[in-house]
Amino acid sequence: MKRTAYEKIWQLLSSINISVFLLGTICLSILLGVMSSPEPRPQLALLWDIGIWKWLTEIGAPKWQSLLWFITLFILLSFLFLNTTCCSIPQMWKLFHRLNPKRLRARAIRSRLAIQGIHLAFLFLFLGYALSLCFSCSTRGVVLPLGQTILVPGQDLSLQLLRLKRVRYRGRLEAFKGETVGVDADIILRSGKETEEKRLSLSRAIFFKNHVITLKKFPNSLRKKWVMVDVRHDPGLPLYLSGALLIGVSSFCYALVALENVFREASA
Amino acid sequence: MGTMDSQLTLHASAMLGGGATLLSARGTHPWLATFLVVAGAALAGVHLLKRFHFAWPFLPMYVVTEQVAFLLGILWAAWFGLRRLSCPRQLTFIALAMSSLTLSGAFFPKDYFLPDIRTATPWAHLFSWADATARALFIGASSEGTALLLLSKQRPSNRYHPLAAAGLCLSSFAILGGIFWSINTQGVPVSFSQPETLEFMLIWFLWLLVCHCAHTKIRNDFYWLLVASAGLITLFITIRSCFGVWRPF
Repeated sequence: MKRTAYEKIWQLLSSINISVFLLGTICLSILLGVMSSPEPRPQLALLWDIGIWKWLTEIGAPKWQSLLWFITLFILLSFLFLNTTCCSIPQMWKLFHRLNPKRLRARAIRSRLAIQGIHLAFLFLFLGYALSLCFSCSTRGVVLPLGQTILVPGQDLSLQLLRLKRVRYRGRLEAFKGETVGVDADIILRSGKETEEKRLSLSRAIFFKNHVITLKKFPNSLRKKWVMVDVRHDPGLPLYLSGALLIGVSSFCYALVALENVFREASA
Repeated sequence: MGTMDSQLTLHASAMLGGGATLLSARGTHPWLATFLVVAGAALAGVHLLKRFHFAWPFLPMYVVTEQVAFLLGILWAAWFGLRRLSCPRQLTFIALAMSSLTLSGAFFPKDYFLPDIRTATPWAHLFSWADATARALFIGASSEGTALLLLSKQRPSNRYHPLAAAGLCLSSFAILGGIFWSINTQGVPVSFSQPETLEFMLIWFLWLLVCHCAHTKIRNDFYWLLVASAGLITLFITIRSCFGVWRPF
């Protein structure tokens, strides 16, 4: 049977040889990044603040030679996303259509499910990052004095620092004993008609309506009552967090099947 | 912390690894070589225990080489014990990797005393251990590839390698931990500006390449060469991350 041009393109895009080529070139571009001079790398941190288009035109463009590896990496990852979509979506479709509890007992089916889950997680992660890189906006260094309501510039969000509790060092380093190593800040968040109270600490951000609020600075003495936070509105947040969870769960399922194989092989 | 005696533990571990390399390369006394590797791993474990105890509830910095060395020894004992020492020559590569990892951990100057205060979260600990275990599993898988390439004329046509597959699973756990750690402390899911992130990404994509190559029509010799090189790159990248402030590359 003669294949149509559409089928030929689809087959080319979903080819594993293309995946191998893309993965190889991705490795090369990251290797170039690892080996290149670390000087322009801090510019990459701005990617999440100003979005990829502005970054490419204003920051990436003047330094494009030293950051060429990153631009290449981004393009290659986009192609890998396309390749994974073309390869995995039809397979997932087939797998889910044939799925029933009886077939689920077969190790091969469980293994294929887990592998497709990992592919799907990659798609979620990439889409989440892409959304985030294109449409997120950040407001850095918002100072919240105790009791005052502060409207975050450029975002539909207001914050009020309600309580501040000092976290002392409780480890074994003599020099740090009794030092303040963090704070627990209770913050009231308001956006539109929604109001919520949440706790922010150095290793725990606040997630509120696609906003991520992280603690940037805090006073060493509690006589001064303020905290400095970074606020980022990130539309990709639900996607990449789901992707991260899915990659963890799928890998766990795959590891269970692999372990089963190893023990079966060892006992044989 | 008794930094000096902890460093001595690391030196002793490196020497045991070196001894195991020599013995296993000669192919004599496989059980003694195994014992030396396990003893070296135990010493690296003691060193790790001290550093983690000292830094708790935070993570000690630049600890990945010691973690990988310790896990390699444990891996050797578990994996090859399970397979009843089918190819003792693989121990040469494991022991060489272990010895170079511990030696680099002992040699390069690092900030032992300053804990990273943003690491007091289970996500950071998950990332640290899952990443190190994945690297140990990858080096273990590569030792088999290298042994097949250098010592055996027959290359198995079955390219499924449980250690590489398990390594990718652990890498995925590290991704999960890393994303949640980064978003909670930095507010972004991944920091492309940090060399550690790039190194992690390189290792992950490299082993994804290996696993995808297993399903292509690539020649067996090339495939096992790729496995061996991926392991060597993983080892080199891991040692390089330990250089700390002194980075010649």
